[in-house]
Amino acid sequence: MKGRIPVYFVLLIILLLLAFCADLIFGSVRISAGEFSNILSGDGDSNLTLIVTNFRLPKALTAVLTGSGLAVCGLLMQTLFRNPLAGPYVLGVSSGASLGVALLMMASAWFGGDALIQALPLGNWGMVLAAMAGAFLVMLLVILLSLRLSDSVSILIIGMMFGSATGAIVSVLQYLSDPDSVHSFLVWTFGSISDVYWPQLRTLAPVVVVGVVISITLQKPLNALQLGETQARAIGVPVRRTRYLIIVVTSLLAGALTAFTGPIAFVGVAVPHLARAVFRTPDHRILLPASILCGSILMLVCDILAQLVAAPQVLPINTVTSLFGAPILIWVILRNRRNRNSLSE
Amino acid sequence: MTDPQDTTILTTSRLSIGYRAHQQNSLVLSADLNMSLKRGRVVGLLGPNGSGKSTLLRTLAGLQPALSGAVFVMGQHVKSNQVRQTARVLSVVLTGRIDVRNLTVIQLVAMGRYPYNNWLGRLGADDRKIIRRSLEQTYLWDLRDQMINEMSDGEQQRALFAKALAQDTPLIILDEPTAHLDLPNRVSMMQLLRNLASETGKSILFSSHDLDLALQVADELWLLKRGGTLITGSPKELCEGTVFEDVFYSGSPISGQNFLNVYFQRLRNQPPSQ
Amino acid sequence: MVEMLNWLKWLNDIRRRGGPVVLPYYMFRMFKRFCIALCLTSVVFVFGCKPAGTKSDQLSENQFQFSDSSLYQPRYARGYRWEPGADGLTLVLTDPWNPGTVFARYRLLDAGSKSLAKSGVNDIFIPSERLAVSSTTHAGFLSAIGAGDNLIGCSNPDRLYDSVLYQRYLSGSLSTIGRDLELNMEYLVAQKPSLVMQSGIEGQFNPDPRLGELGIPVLYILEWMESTPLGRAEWIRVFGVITGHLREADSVFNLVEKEYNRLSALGRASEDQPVVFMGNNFKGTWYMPGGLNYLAFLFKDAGMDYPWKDVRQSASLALNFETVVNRVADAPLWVGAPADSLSQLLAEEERYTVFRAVREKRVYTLTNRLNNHGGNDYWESGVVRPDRILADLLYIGHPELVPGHSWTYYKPLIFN
Repeated sequence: MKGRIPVYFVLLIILLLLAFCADLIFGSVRISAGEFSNILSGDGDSNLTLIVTNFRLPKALTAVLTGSGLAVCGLLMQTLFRNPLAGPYVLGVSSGASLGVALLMMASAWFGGDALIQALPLGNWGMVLAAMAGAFLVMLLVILLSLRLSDSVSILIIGMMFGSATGAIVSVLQYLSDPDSVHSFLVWTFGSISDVYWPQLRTLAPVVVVGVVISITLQKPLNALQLGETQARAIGVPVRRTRYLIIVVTSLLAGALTAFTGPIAFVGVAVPHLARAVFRTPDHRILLPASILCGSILMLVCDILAQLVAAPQVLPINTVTSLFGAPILIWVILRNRRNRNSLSE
Repeated sequence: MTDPQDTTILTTSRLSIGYRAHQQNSLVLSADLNMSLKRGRVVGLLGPNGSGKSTLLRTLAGLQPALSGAVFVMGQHVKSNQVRQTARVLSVVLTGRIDVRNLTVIQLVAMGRYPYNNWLGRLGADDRKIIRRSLEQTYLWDLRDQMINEMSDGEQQRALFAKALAQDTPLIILDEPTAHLDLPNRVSMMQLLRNLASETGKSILFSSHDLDLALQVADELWLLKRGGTLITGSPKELCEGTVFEDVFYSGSPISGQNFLNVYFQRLRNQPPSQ
Repeated sequence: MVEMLNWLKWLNDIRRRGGPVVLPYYMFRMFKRFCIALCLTSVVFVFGCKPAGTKSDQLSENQFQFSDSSLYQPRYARGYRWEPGADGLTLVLTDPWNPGTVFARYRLLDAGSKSLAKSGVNDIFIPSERLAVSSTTHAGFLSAIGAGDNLIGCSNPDRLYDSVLYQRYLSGSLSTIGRDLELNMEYLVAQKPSLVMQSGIEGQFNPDPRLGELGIPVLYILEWMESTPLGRAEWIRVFGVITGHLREADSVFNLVEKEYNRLSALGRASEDQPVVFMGNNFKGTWYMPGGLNYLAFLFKDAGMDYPWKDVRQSASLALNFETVVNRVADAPLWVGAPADSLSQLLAEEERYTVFRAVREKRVYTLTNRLNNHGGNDYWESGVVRPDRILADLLYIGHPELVPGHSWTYYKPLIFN
């Protein structure tokens, strides 16, 4: 069984490359294989080349970043809280980002923000900054609280409370706001990876890479944490410091990704389970790269489906990830329940 | 303390254990404890519920901060924030099922080497030897590729003990190693502790509710009364006198007192094995 | 007498609830009220009844003469028609969502006959003096025909462009009745309107029953469902009839019609038909008007080629950004861009540079008449004056056909 692991990795890498190319080929505008090879060799139709390099390539890269970032976050959260249903948004970070964007889109007229927005040609960056501000605020609160609390479950509950509270505020904003703003905000909540262009990628990519790299250095403490915090401490793992680092990395990754793409559901929760099912090991040395690969592939596949299923209309990415993610989660719950009823006292 | 003749593995100095609730209000379970544990000895910690056995063990293991005083293992002050150094001199075995899926016995035991290897968890030849030895000593070598969560409680407990052995520390602390185990497993676990202490020269401190097994197996017993008083002595010493009644009765009268009297009497009539 | 009916209903309620003990007391109270009402009614009868001809004479100047009804039936609008009948004139709205069926019928009755006629919820007494409207477009119609004073309530009045109306809002003689589609019933009723105008965006004939109970009719104005610009503008006649300003309405519309047809003849005859597109990208979706939308007609009349003119729907198409780029990356004209300056535009979405229209600086926005409190006249007087919009579009695509024109609603993007 051990020997199969490298084989699986090779297969996953091949699948990733195929999915990446497929995402470049398939889209609202039809590009045949012949035209695609023309584009690759440099003398394709100017409009089509434009579309592939300016639209599809950044989108595919964003899909890879989003898929890996969210999957890694999800894995970290599931290990830290020893809860198979935990995901990147469990600390309330994406709710904070939503609140930032909601305030920008629906309430900026109330406190003179409109004038500010007109003055600075922020455009797209305005939304990103608002989301990051919201995420950062929640992250600060969660970190401060985690320093005072010694137990992870409390942090989990507090994160969920933040999520509820910000959700309530956003609802009030939606109620008091005009239909256009509400619609804009709603569209943002559907998630979109096609809005990320090179300048945004230049900011997003380093953040995701740094976050993922830090997570990889944490694989030994993560393995130990699976046994429980006390057991982990007993084998010399600095639990408090690890928890703090995990929270920082997750908030950073989830916050940055939500700021640029909006909240993308299910990927963070479902992909670690996929990785565990394929590789059948609890070792994070394997699970982390596996989650990165599986997450990227899943996002690329979801994007391709979003383009093709309802052509010429494009489905919001959240619709497709939910269609994938929900069955996976149901399977996880059923599997866990089955196990709990077997054996043991 | 670097005297090579010194065989004291663990000492405490005016140790006070309990829970710190809100700044000033702390619940003190036991105060001013001065204990010591020598190399190669098996020590059993017993006492009624609520006396603070678990708290004491956790404080000694550095898993819980002491209210005041200090714990020294191998001359090293055990502080709850210096986990890695502490993990090299003392290892802990706790009760409770491990619920992790797809975790094999050998993977679990390999985690015992974490205080010694790098951030990748790389295992060298020495590490592998120690792991193998630990598995053999606990008769788990043939079961090394089994999934932990599919094993019985007894086997799991043994695997956790193997992990502590792989951690290669002079002191191993076990919190109620025989809880949830059936009679044969209880007996074999205790016997395992005894044998390993003699073979490897490690010191073992365990807590238990099994007074009779403890008497058979331990070199020394620590009895913790409700209220915090600690009474130490060899099984032989403790059998003379009314220590047991004193320790286990302290506080309100309990039902079945007559039965207990008979029980303790019977224990005294069976001389301990050493 | 509706009041009597109400009393009997109320009495019944009391009877059911209060029982025989309470009944006499309430009966006494009812009797007292009945007497008062009788007295008041008699007074009204005495003073209100006029010899035939006096009050109605005053109205007849602006009232309908149905000697030649075809003159007054709408020529471009398909959403309404007039049905003269024995008991008066009826305004019939046709259902745009179910073609061929009637959406609503409104009986138009002489305001002087109010006390005599048995009025139902769809009876409108004209001229209607106190109007509450749910859209600034309705306000635009009213001020164009000189009936701005009839307007006493409006949704989002802070977004009015017309300065006279906005001043009335600031001074308090024009009140708010809610925001967007949410009408605040309390505000609305406090203004005591004689008629409420709604736009029917929900797609159903669904007036709030509380208004019916208060005797306030709800007139749906469906000009926004018209396919053609002149069809939309022709709803001005409805406003004219309702407020008694039909003559002004006719004169405005005749002018609009003449000018529009003159300009569209020029546009259509033009040999060069530059490709045009409009709208903007939002989160990967670009909403583009369908081929039956009034904008598509405007483009055709302005002598421009609209790539989606053959799509047989008037609703907007939700297209992908990629699709739009593929189709119109080389188009010379972009109208209705969502920013005022190039830097703002590119800050929204850097990839707009792929459009030739951006590179050649031929991008136009709808914000020439946008005031500092969010009011855009395009939606107010623009609906009344499609000829001016057409002139703007001609100026964009074929400036030589409209020499001396200055921007009305459109203006070029600031390129700096």
